[in-house]
Amino acid sequence: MTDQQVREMLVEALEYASVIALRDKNFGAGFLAGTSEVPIDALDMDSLAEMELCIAIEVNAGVSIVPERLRRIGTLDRLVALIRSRQ
Amino acid sequence: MIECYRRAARRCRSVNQINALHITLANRITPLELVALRDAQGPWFALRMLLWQGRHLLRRLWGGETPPAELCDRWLRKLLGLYAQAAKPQPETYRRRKVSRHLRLYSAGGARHDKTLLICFVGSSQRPFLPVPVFLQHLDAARTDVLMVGYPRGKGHRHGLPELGRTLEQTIDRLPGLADIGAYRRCVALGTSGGGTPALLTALRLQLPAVLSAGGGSPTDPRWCAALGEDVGELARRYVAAATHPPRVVLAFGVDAQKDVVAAQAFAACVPAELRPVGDRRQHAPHNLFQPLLRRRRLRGFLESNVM
Repeated sequence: MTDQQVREMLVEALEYASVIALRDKNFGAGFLAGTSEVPIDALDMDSLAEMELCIAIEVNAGVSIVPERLRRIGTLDRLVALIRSRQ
Repeated sequence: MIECYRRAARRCRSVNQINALHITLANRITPLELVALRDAQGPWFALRMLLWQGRHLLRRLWGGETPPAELCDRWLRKLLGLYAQAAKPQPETYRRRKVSRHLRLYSAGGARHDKTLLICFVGSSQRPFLPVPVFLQHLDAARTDVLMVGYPRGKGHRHGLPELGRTLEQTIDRLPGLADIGAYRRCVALGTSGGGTPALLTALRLQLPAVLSAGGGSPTDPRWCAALGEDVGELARRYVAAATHPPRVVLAFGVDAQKDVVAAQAFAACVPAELRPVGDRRQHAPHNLFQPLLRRRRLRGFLESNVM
């Protein structure tokens, strides 16, 4: 997957997991364009949303990241880099 | 069901696969199935839970991830903890029946003429804020059947259910026939989160006696307006104007979820409604307002007084 495809996959997964902060805080457009850093903590995800995101990453990108590790990654940009490095 | 679960869990090769299995199960199983799953764990379950707590504490101190096998015990323990909040000695005797791809009926059987049908539009993660067995345990299976209305992946309720029609209105119009609403003494609607708006529109269009929207969206949500081709508030006003007996509309929201407060107030400006704030200075009440009610053992009373 290209950098852009990973970003689109993550936005779709976050929307499916009903992470409303993505839309409310206008994170989506900047993240897709690669122009803004989005801290994972700022997404206000509950444990269920974290699980849904990790499941989507594994299903779509074949990369296994567990929810316990997700927050330690820090930002969505670093998450993109991690997914691409493991593919 | 238990053997199916064990087989599926054995096939899982990663933490995420096990989590996906558990989310799916928590969105479907009945209180009876949950209790059967607990009983199938055998006499060592309580001891395993104690050991798990010790290992979990050590992992938090020194880091490390939970091994997949332990996740099954952990999931069941969490689910049973929430289930116990209903404080009932016996599980409610609901049985599950698939009505269509996105519709499931939970019923204990028996005559319907003295029962209430609760049409429940689920929100995010395809659940009514809580795992389904936990939610059902807070109802009375002898008096209430539940029609759980899901939504197509990634599309929400905005375009209705593909198996029932191409629009939300077509879907709403087909619900009475599918669920045999006329056979029940009473039929009411509940919507949580993204299910709030369709629950309101359904109750208004079908002229149901009551509807509760918990943490529902705004009538000016552009995604809804785009899907319906008009403002949701305007559509709701039209339904109210056409109704001979408009429903009792209750709009509940967690006081700490500012977006939900604004959305409820905006809806109340469109249709006659009661605003029901949940939480106060001592009790944090987020978007998922059933969680604080569950912790305080007030969920059952809340549902009874606001929609049942």
